[in-house]
Formats: sequence, structure tokens, C-alpha cells
Amino acid sequence: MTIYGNIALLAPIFWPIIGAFIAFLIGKKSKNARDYFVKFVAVSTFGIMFALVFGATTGEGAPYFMISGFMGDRIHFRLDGLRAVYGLIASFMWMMTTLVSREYFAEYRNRNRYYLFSLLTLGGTMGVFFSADLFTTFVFFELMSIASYVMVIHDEKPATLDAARTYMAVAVIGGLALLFGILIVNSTLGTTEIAAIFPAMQAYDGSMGILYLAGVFMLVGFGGKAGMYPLHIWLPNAHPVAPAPASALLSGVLTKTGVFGLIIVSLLLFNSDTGWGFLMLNIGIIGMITGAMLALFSTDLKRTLAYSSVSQIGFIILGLGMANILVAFRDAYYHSLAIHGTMLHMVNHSLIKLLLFMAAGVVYLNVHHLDLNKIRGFGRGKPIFTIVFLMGALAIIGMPLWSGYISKTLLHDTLVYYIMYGDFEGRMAVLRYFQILEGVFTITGGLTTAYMTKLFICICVEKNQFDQAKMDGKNKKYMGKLTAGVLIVCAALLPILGLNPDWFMIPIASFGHDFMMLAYYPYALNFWAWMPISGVLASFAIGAILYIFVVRMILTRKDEEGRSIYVNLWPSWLDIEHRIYRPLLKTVLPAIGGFFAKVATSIVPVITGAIHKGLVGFRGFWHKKTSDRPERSFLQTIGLSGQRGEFVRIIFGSLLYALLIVFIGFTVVQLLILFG
Amino acid sequence: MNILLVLPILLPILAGAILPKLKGVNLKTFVTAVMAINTALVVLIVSLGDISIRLLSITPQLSLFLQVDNLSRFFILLAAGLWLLVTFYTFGYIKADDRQAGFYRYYLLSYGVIIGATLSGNLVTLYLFYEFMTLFTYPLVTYNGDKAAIKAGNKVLVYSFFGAGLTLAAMFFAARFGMTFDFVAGGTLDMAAVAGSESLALFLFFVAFIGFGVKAYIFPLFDWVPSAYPEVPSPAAALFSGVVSKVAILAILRLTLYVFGADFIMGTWVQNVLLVLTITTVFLGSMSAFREKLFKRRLAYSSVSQLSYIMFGIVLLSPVALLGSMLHVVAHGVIKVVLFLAAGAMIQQTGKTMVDDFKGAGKSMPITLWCFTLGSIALIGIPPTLGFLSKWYLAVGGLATTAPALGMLGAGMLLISALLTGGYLIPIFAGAFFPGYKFDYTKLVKNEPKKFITIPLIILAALALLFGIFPGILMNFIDSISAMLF
Repeated sequence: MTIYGNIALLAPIFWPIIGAFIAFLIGKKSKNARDYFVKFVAVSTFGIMFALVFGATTGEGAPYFMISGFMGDRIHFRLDGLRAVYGLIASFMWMMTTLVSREYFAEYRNRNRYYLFSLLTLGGTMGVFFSADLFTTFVFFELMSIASYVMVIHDEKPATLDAARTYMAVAVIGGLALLFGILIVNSTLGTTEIAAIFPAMQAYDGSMGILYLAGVFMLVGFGGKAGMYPLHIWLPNAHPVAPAPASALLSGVLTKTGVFGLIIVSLLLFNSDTGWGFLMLNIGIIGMITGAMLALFSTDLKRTLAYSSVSQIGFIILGLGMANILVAFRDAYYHSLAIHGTMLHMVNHSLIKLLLFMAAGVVYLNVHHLDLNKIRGFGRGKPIFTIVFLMGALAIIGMPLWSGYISKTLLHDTLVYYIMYGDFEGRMAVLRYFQILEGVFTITGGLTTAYMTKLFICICVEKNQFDQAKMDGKNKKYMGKLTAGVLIVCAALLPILGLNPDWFMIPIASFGHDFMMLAYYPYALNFWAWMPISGVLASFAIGAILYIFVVRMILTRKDEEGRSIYVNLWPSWLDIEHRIYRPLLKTVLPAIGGFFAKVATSIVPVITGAIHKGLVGFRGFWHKKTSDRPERSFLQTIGLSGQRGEFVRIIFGSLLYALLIVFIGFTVVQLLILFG
Repeated sequence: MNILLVLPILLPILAGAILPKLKGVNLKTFVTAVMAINTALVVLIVSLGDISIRLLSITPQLSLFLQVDNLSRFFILLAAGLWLLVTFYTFGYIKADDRQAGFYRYYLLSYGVIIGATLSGNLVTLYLFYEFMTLFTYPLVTYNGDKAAIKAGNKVLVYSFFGAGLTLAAMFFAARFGMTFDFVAGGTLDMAAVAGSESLALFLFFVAFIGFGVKAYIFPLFDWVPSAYPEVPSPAAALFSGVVSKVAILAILRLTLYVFGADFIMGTWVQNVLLVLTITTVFLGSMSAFREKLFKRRLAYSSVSQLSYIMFGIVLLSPVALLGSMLHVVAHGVIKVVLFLAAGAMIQQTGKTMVDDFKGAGKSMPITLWCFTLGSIALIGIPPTLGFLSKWYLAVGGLATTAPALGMLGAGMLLISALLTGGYLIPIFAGAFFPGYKFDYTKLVKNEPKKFITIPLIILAALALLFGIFPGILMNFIDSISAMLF
């Protein structure tokens, strides 16, 4: 085995993996010591990561690590730009969720198992973000997928087992689709090295069809993990049932590994392919609006947040699609809008969902429910919780001065500038299409505002219709100091990042330039101009209307005793998981495949059965004629009877059959040669 | 010096022959001693260099010829290693009654002839050992002694001898091309003698391939597999799937690459037909396993599909595909032994036989189930196990082939099959480890099998993982084999 490059790069990947097993062994002896050790691993991983990133950027060139003679020579890591940012975010989020885990899991069983697989997932996730070769990406992607399954299934309730089944199905099917895509890229471009994909595409002159096939397979694999519509089905299943720290990680980090892959496919493989851009654009916009609508209808806190994730991932995918389109537009003058918007929306979504899911965890820990009607009024009289939740809500709806505003504005501007400066001479349909897209973008913003308002008002403003005293009874003792501290830090990040984009957000975005193939970087966008602010205000207005006329008037009703309760009116026939995917995978495809298998496997038994019957019948016919003779077979005459005789009969019989068949075949071939 | 080659074949055969006559000797000690000495002998001859010995020569085409080359080394190490580990498992598994002597007798006899098959230097010798392998494994199949077992055993005999007969007849007809049947890398087919009747020679190759393929479960001749496996005692089932089927693979490798030669077969109808057959088998095996509820039969169907991965790789006739194939020989050998051994332990400890019967088994027998899980993950082909690497190279070989449509279909089918493999293995261990929140932890009793059973399991499961992470030694060895062939 030969090693090239900086071996320190292995630390953030393999330290959690090794630590996972150490923690497991410690946990067999002492649960307390295990809890401290797990925290130590999570914090130290973040520390290592921090040191690596800020130590590395000062040196020249990005640190890389390669090892030959290990898993087929393709383990290759790199720590640059986007990888560094996401390595940092992932380890940060793991640290935060691990810090609150002790309190959250206090009453759970099988905690040793949870921590083992949580840390394994961390190692896998870091491996994906560090990977510089698609083979490496795949290896760690699978480790992450399988290990996180155990995090999802943790409480083993029936709904959980069901959700975990969906999660595993998406993980396995997505993983294999991804593998197939990578294999095709490997055989057509001759490389899986991520940095070599773009140059190889420039030099490629073969058919694009096979590469689109690869692209679609990788889209399924990465998109499934990212929560891309319509492969998002695991999110609304897994998020509500998984423990809150796990939900935060699933939504905040694991989906981003999928996005990381989508960046490779979209921006490296199909860098300036407008057709691919339109595909991504459509997927993104459908995901945005559908996710947001489902979130508005949902009456379960974590399910709402999960659908919100589907919607936000839609924004990110829209950004990727626009990046494909803008790179070939006006000398890529507006390319950086899409690149920065995509990158920052990833970062924002991670941080916001971390906060909101941890807040949901606090709710669950106290009320043991996530149904909006049961947790209503929980936030009353709990100022820290209320403020923390408000920060997350304001950030996600894109309130100016909060971080979400910046990324949403950038993404929105990609559409605005394309419409404004595009040449639509004779292509009015395209113009209309983009105008509709822009409209949908604004409406989705309105939906986001509406569902976050619904959540906030329900949890922190309204009184519980059943038992508000129980909710108030928890005041001042609903969370520990550590949890409160973690929540406050995470909440404070959002307005700090959003305060002035030039301080943090734009510098963070510029980390992604190289990896995301930024073509041109000229602009200095004024975020505080009337135009971007007016876009947000339009969204807020739509949101207010939706909240008043849809949420208050349609999605709530009075029950028999006059209490107003939230109802989910989303029609059940629109459930693509239970209407399409499950029947297809569990019934239709196995039935078709099984039918073929049954037919094919019964060919030989039927033939041999027929031969056997024929021979037996023939023998019966023979014996009838000579029935006066005592029955004595040839084998019996030579002294072989019973089982031994059977044995010999089988052997010689089989050999003779074979000889017969070969002889017939031989003759046929000879005849074919003679006459053919 | 060369006479040493005979020893590892003769020793187990003689030991097996005298075993039931022994009085006052502990059977387990005796078998352990024989296995230990023989393993040492195997290691010795493997390290001696390329030696050979011609024992008996009736005609140039008809001789007993033993030799050691890298391919023999590969298979003899696999066979001897797996056989040794399973021996210990057998000690924990087979009940110590007065019938056990019969089991160990044929256990050793089969071992001897399998070593013989791996050391064979020409097709005639290989064929001879191959036939004896079928005969000596028959008592292992029928060890349970009931009617079902004997019926299963007879079915195995019918199919095996039918297959062997195909090969024998093909050899018989092929002899007229003046072939010596000695194994030479790249093939010994005399093109001048074949000239004019290439299609005949191809047909004979096809027939011989299918003949050996019967024991590697090729479509349409695998019907005996689902009948036989549920009746076979688990250690024997593990060895049938892990080693006996690999001897068939060895025979196919020898036939294809050392007798007829890759150049002769490349691009012909035979290659295409065999590709179609193996791809079909991959699908049929996995699909049948997916629909099967009897635990051991599910694993048997699984072997059907996995063995065809290997044959698919061989028929592609390229170095990358061969690398994938050979890696999969090791991967499947190790993994399927793990799965059968773990399944055997689970069945023996709980007395249940269906796949849905093992809810919560992960809590009562964690070591066994951890090994089973690791084996399952490796069989599905999830990294970082050896099963992943082998499938990677098989698929790369499939996509790089000269028959692009079939290659792509094959590569795609590998993945569909992997999906089905997930579908039929994951629910077993998921149910075992995640029995549901109502699972009663107070009634939990530790039900872990004996150390004789768990230690071989742990070693093999670890191997499936370690070879996946550090495949360098295997890959270099396989490269040295394929460097001679292509």
C-alpha cells in the first residue's frame, strides 16, 4: 500500500468510525462514560475539522489524500472549497445534536446501538463530502445510508418499522441506481475522478445518449438521498418517527450529500447542457411547490418540517438548473447568482433545519406528541423556545436580515435577470415559461410563509384546546441548560449570518467557486434594493392571504364541543408512495418477475416429468404383454437391488441420456454443416 | 519431490476409508489431525513452485496428470481453507451418535477428491475427480436418512451425472480433433485440425460447458438445487455452495481458457448464448429466492444467481471480467459459507425453518446474527465488502465488452439481482435486530451456539470484510493468472 498526500485528511472520517466502536465497548460497561465519550468524539471531530480547514487554506493548494492497494485503488479524498464548508457544517451539526442527545435519549432503550451507528454515519458522511473520486463517494455513501437506517428505526414502533422500510428501499434502490450511473460514466469517460470529469466531457465526442442514461441513474441515486421530488418519499416517513437529533441530521446533512452528488452530475458532467438544466429546473420547481403545499396541509410538526425540506431542496435543484442555463447566457455574466444561491441555500437549509428539528425534539420530549392539536400552545410562557423557533421561522421564510433572505433572493434573481435580459425573439413560449416559473417561485415563498406562520401561531401563540394547564406546567423546566445553550447558539447564527451578506454569506459562497465551476464572477448585488425586497414582500402578502383564507378557514374546523382543531385535508389518493411505489415494488413487479421465473424454471421439470411418465407408461405396456414372467429387472439379475440398484440405475441412466442428447446434437450439427 | 502432489489427495481418502473401522480413537481428534496435516501439505505444495506429475498414461489423451499452477493454487487454498473452518463448525453441529462416523468418512473422502480436482492437470483427470466428488458427496446429501433426503439425493445424482455425461460425450467427440486435454494457458486447440468444422467444435465446447455448468447451477439445469439444499445438513450445504460449486467453476475455467481458449470462443454464437443463459440464471435465481419462504431454500436459490455472476464474468472473456469473476469466487465462497453456517445455527438453536421465524433472534444470538448481517451486506454488494468489489469489476467488464448490448444487460441485471438480494436478505436480519418496541426484553434468554460454531463464523465474516478493504493480495494473484491468459 502506498500513500500519497496528507494523511491528516483521514482523521475526520475514520476517527468517528473508530470512536463508534470504542463507544460501543465502553457502553457495555458504563452508560455514563459512554455518553461523555460520544460527546468527546463529536466535539473533537469538529475540532479536527476546524483545524484542518483553517490550517489548510493557509498552505498552497488543497490537501488531498490517496491510497493505492486499498479497495481497488480508488480511495481518494480532497479538502477544498465546498468540501471544506460541508465537512465543517456536518461536523458542527453532529456536535450540536450529540450534545443534546443525552437529554433526549434519557428514557430510550438501545442507546448503545444508536450511538454506534450515529458515529458511523458521521464517518460515512464526512467520507462523502471529502471524496474526490466517484468510487470513493459511493463507498461512503453506502456506509452512510446503511448506518443511518439504524438511526431511523430506533424506537421500533410499528410506524417506525414501516418508515424504516421505505428508507431502506430508497437507500438500496438509489444506491444501485447510483452505482450503475457511476459504472457507465466509468466506461464512457474512462474515469471516475471527480476533478477529471469536466475535462473528460470537454474531450468527449461519443454519443450523449449513454451519458444521459448515466445522468438519470445518478439523478435517481443522489436525488433520492437529497429528497428530490418525486423520490422524496422517505423524508415525510422517516423524519417524524426518527429521534429528533437524527431527524435534524437526516434533513440537514444527509440530504446535502445527495445535493453534493447532484452538483457533480449537473455542474461537472452536464456543465453547460441547457437541456439538462431545464430538466433540473422542472424537477426543482415541482418539488418546491408540491413540498410547500404538503407542508401547509400537514398537521404533524415534524412532517411539516419534512415537507418543508422537500420544498427547500426544490429551491436548491432549481438553482442547479439555472446554473446550467446561465453558464451559456450573456457570457455567464449571471452565473454566480445561481452558484451562490445554490450553495448558500444548502448552507441555510442545513442550519435552519438543525434548529427547527431540535426545537421539535424539545416539544416531543415534553409532550410525547407531534400532532399539532396536541402540542398546541406548548411555546406559551416559554420565551427561549419561542424566540428560538421564531428565528428559524423567520430565516426560512426569507425575512430580510435573516440568512434565508440572501439565498432566496439570489435564486429569485436568477429567474428575474434571465427574464429581463434574455433574448426571447420568436421564443415567446420560453418567456412565458420563465414568467410562470417566477410566479411559482413567489407563490412557493407565500406557502412557506403560510406554513411557518401556522406552526408558529399554533405552537407559540394559541392556547391548547384540550389542556393548556399541562402545557404551562412544564414552564421553566422543559429543557436542560445544555440543550438551551445549543438552541440559542444555533438560533443566533441565523440573524448573524444574514445581517450583512458581505461579512459571512458571500465569503462562504465563494468557497464553492472551484467545485461548482463558477464561470464568471463580476457582480455586486445590492440586497437592500427595492426590487429584491419587493419580491419577498409579495411572498409575505400571498402568505398572509393563504394563512387567513386557507389555514384559518379551510384547514381548521370546529369539533363537537366547539373546539377549533387542525385537520389534514390532503386527499389520500394523491399519496404517491402508497398509490404507486409500494404496489409497484411489492406486488406488480414481483408478480411479473415471479411469473417469468416460474415459467422458466418449470421447463426442465415438465420435460423430464413427461419423459419419465412416457417411459413408465411404456414399461407398463411392455410388462402387460409379458405378465406371466416374474418381474425381475436387469439390475436385479446381476445382484443389484434396493437402494444400491437405484443408485446404479440413476447413474447409468443419466449418463446414457446425456450421451444420447450429445449424439443427437452432434448429428444435427453435422447435418447442418453438410447441407447448410 | 513431485510425488508430494499425490499426498494431499490420498491422505484424506485413505483416512476416510479406514475411519469407520477405527476403534478407541476419538473421531474429532482423528478428523482434526487429518485436516491439520493435510492443510500443511496443501500449503507445502502450493509453495513448492510449478511442479507436475504424470501418474498413468494409457494414451496421450488419456492420462492421470497432476500439476500446480496459479489457478490450482487459487482454488486449492480456497477449498482447503473453507473445508478446514467448516470442520470445526461440523464438530459443533453434527450430533455425536453412531451415524456420525459415516458423515465424517464421506466428509474426508469428498475433501480428498476435491483437492484432487484442483490439482488436476488435464481434463480427463479433472473429470475423474469430478465424478468421484458427486459420488462421495451423495451420502452427505442423504445424511438425514429420511425419504425426502434420499429423494433429494437421487435428484442430485440424476442431474450431476447427466451433466457429467454431457461433458464426457463432448470430450469423446472432441478427441478426434487431436486435443491432448492438458491444461495450457490460452488453450490447446489445434486450429489446423479444427479447420472446417469450427461450428462442431463450438458445439462441443457448449455442451461441455453446460455439462460442468450443472453443478454451477446454470439455467435450465438448476432444478435440483431447491430440492436438495433444504435436506442437506448445514455444514454440508455450506460446502456444496461454497466449495463444490467452485470446483465446477474451476472446471469451466479450465475448459474455457485452458483447453479451448478465449480466442476461439470470442464473438461466436456460443459466447452470446452463454451470456444470455447466465444473465437469465442471475435473474431467475434471485427472483425465486425473493419469493421463497423456506430459509435454506432461499439461500440455495441465492447461490444459483451468484454462481451465474461468476460464469457471466468468465464468458465475457476479458481480464477485468475475469478479475471480477475470480474475486466473486472468493467472495461467494466465503459469504455463502457464512450464510449457510449462520442459517444452520439459527435453525438448530430455534428449531424454526422459515425466513419470518427469526424475529428478535439478534437479541438472543447476537454473534451469529452479526455474522449473518455482515455476510448479507457483502452478498448484496455493499461496500466496503469483497462482494462489492467483485461486482464492480464484473459490471465494469460487462460494460466494456465486445457484445455491448448483452454486456450492458448483464451489468444491469447484476444490479437488479443485487436489489432482489437486498429484498430477500435484509428483512431477515432487520426483523432479527429490530423486533419492534413490544419485544419482551425480560423473557430474553441468551441462545448463542457453541464456540465451535461461532468462531468459524466470525473468522469467515471478518474475511469477507477484510478482503474487501485490502484486496491487493487477491487482485495481484488474479492478475498473475490472467496475464498468462489474455
